[in-house]
Amino acid sequence: MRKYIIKRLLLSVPTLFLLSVIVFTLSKWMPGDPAERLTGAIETDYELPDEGPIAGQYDRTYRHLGLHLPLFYFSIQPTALDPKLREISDGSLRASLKSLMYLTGRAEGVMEYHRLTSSFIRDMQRLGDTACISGENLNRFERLYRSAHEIENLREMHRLLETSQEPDGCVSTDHRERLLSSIEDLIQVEKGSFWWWPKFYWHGTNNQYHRWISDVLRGNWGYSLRDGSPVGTRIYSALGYTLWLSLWSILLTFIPGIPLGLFLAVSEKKYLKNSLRTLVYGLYSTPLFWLATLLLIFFTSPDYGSWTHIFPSPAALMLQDSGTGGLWASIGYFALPVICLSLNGMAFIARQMEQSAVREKFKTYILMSKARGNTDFKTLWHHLFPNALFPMITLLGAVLPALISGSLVIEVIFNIPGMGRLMWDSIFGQDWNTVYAVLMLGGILTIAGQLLADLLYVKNDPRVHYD
Amino acid sequence: MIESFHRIRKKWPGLLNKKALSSVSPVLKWVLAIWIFTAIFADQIANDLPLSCTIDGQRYFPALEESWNKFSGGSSARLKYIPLMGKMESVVMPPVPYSPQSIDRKNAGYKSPFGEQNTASTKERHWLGTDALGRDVLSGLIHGSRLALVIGFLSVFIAAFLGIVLGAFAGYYGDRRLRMGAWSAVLLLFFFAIGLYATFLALDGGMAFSHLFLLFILLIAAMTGRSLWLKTRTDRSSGKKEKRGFYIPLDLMVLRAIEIFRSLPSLFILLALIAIMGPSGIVQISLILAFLMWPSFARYTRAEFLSLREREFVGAARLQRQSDLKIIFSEILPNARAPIVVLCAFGIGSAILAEATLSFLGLGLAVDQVSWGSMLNEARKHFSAWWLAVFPGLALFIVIFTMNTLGDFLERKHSGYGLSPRGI
Repeated sequence: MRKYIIKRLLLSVPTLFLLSVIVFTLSKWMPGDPAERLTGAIETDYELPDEGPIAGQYDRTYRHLGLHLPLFYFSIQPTALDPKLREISDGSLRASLKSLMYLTGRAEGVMEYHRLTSSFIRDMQRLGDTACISGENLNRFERLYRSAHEIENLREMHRLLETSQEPDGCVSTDHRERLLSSIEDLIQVEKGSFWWWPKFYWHGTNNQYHRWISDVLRGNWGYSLRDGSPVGTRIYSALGYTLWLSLWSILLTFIPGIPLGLFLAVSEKKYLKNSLRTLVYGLYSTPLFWLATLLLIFFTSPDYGSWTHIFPSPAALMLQDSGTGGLWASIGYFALPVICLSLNGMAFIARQMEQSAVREKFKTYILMSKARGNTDFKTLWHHLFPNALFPMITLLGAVLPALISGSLVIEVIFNIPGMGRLMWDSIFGQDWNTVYAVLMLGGILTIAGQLLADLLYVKNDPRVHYD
Repeated sequence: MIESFHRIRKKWPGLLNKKALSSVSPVLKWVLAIWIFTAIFADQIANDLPLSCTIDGQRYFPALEESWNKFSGGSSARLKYIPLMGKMESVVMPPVPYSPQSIDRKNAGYKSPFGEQNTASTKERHWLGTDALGRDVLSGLIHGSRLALVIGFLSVFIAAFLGIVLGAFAGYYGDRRLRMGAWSAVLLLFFFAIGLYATFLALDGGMAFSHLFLLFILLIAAMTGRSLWLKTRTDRSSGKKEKRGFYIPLDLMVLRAIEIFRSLPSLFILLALIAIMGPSGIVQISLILAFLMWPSFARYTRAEFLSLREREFVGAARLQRQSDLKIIFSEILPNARAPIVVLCAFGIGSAILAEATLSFLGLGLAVDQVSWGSMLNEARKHFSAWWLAVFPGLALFIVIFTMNTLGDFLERKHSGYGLSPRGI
C-alpha cells in the first residue's frame, strides 16, 4: 500500500510539471504586456528595486519581471533569429528587428545594426545642434529605425545618413561609417538559403520558467500584477470565502442527496417516487447559472413586492468586514449561493446514487440478506449502501478540488470574492502570477483527490488491491 | 463460422432504428423536432426582412436569401434590402417580424410581455418582451436555438471523432500489437518534428503558410514512396514479413493523455483559452469544447474495444485477412456504438450548457451572435425584467433536459454502461 502511494506521488510529478509548463505557455500567448500593466500599477504602492542605470520606468519593470530572460531552459530557433532579441524591452522595436531578421536571414548583422544605430542616435541627440545630421532628419531616422519592417526603410535610412553630411565644422562619430557599411551589408548581401535551419540554444537555469518555478517551490508565489500585493495573501483571503461556501454546499449536497438517491432506487411508493424523480432529473438539467439568476432577481430585490425581498443584495458583501466574525455575520449573503450549489449538487448525487443502487438491487446478496430475515433498513444500509457507494467515491475525489476552486459562476453572480472570482478577475486583469498560482493549486488538488479516491476504494472494497 | 459472423453483422441490435425510435416518448420527439425546425428556419420564422415582397413589379424572397447568404458566406441580404424597404409592395412578413438585432426604439427600455406595448398591431407585438434597446426576446430565442444546435452537434462531432479514433486504436492495438519498423518510426518522427517546427515558424511570421502545404505534399510523397518500396521488397521475399522494429505502446500513450486531461482544472483552462482567443466564432468555441470533451469518448471506446477485440467475429474477420483499419471501423465500431451514442446525447447537452455559461459570463462568442446565455446575461443588469431571465433559461433547460432524458433512455436500452456525463 505504502509502495503504491509513493508510486502514485512520483507519477504525479511529471503531470504537475506538464501542468506548470502548459500554464506557463498559455500565459505567454495571452495578449497584453505585463510590464506595461505593472508600470501602471506601481505608481501607487509598489517599490521596484533599483537595478542600475536603465532608462525609464518601463525598462526597469521589464527587467524586474524577468521578461528579458529566455523562456525555458533551452530553445530551438531558426538561425535567422538571435536569442538575445528578448533583451530589447521596446516591444515595437523588437518586432521590427525580428521581421528584419526574417527578411535578411542574418541575426548577427541585424543585432550589429541595432547596436550601432541606437548608439548613433544617442550620440547625435547628445550633440544637439553641432551634430552632422539635422534634428528633423534625425527624428525621421529614428522613426524609420523603430518601424523598419522592410528593406525599403533601410534604403531610406541609408540615403538619409549619406545626404546628411555637412562638411564644415560639424561633429560626427566613427559610428557613422560603420553604421553605413552595416546597413549596406544588410541590403546588399543575399539571404542565405539556410536561414530557417533550426539552431539549438541552451540557456541554463537563468530563464523565466526556472525563476518562477523555483520561487514557487520556495513558497513564494510572486506578486500580483494588479496591485503588487503578494499572491499568497490574495489567495488566503479568497480561500476563506470559498471554503465557507463549499463546506456548507457540500454538506447540504451529500446529506440529503444520498438518502434521496437510495429512496428513488428502492422505494415502492410509486407516485411519490416518480414525482421526486422528475424533480431530481429536472433539477439536474437546470443550468446552475439560470437557477442562480432566477433566485437573485426574485429574492434579493424589492421589485416583486416586499415579501420576496428576503435576502440582502449581493453588492453589499464587498463592503463587509472579512474578519473573524465577518463570515457569521454575512450568512445572509451566503444563503442563496449555498442553496443554488446544493440543489444542483444534490440532484447530481441523487441521480448517481440511484443508478448505482439500482444496479446492486437485484444481486443475490440482497436476496440473501432478506432471506436471513434482516430488516429492510439493515439490508439497505448495511448491504446495499456500501456496495452502491463505489461510484460515489470517485465523486468524493472530485470534491477536494471543488472545495477550493468553488464555483466560478456562482461567485461571479453573487459577487463573492472567493477563489473562482479571483481567478476570473486575474485572467481578465492579465494578472499572471495569480493565475499560475490558482491553476497550480487546482491541479495539485485534483491529483490529490484522485489519489484519495483510489485509496478509499481499497478501504471500501477489500477485493481491490494495488500492487 | 464466417457465415455466422456475417449474420451477426447484419443483425446487430438497432439503436436508432424505427422500432427503437417508436419507444422514445412522443414529447421528447416533438421537442427535438421543434428545436431542429426552428434552428434550420430561424431566418424565416423571425426576421425583420419580409418573407416575400415585390419591388418594381419583381418578386423577391429576402428572408430566404439571407439564409442562403449566411450559408454560402456571401454579402448580407440585409445590406441589399434595408435601403429598399420603402419600395416594397405586397409584403409578407415572417410570424415574428423582428430579427434578434433589430432595435425597436418605440419599445426600448424593457417592455414586459403582459404590459402595454407601443406597436401598430398585434402582429408586431413583442410576445416575450424586449430588452433595454428594444430587441425582441422571442426572436433572440429562435435565433439562439440555431446557435445551440450548431455548437452542441459540432463540438460533440469533433470530440467523438477524435475520441473514437484514439480510443479505437488504443483499445484494438493495445501496447504490444502495433509494430513499426525502425526506419518508418524515424521517418515519422522526423516529419512530425519538421511539421511542428514549420508550423511554429509560420505562426511566428518567418514563413508563409503555403510552405506548410509544400511540406505536407513532401510528407505524403515520402510515405507513398516508402510503402511502394516496401511492397516491392516484400513481393520479392515472397511475403515474408520483417521482424525487426519495435512495438508502439499506443494504449499507454492514449491513457496517459486522458489522465493528464483529467487532472487539468478544465473550467480554468477553458477560461484561459477563451481569453487568449478573444471573441471568436462558433467553430473555435466548438473546437475548444471538443478539446475538453474527447477524453471521455476515448475512454469508453477504448474499454469497448478491449473486450470486443477478443470476440469470435473479430477473429473471423482476421481469418478473412481483412485489414486492421477495416476490422476496427467496420467490424468492431458498429458493435461498440452503444456507449458512444449515449455519450453523444449527454455531450450535446453539456456542450450547450458550457457555451451558455461562457456567453452568460460575457465570454466566447462575438457580440453580434445571439446566444441564450448572452440573453440571460442581460437579465442581470435589470432585475425587474423577469422575462429576460425566465424565457432564455427555460429554452436552455428544455433542450438540456431533453438531451439528458434521451441519454438516459438510450442508456437504459443498453443498460450495463455506467455512464454519466462529466460536466465542464
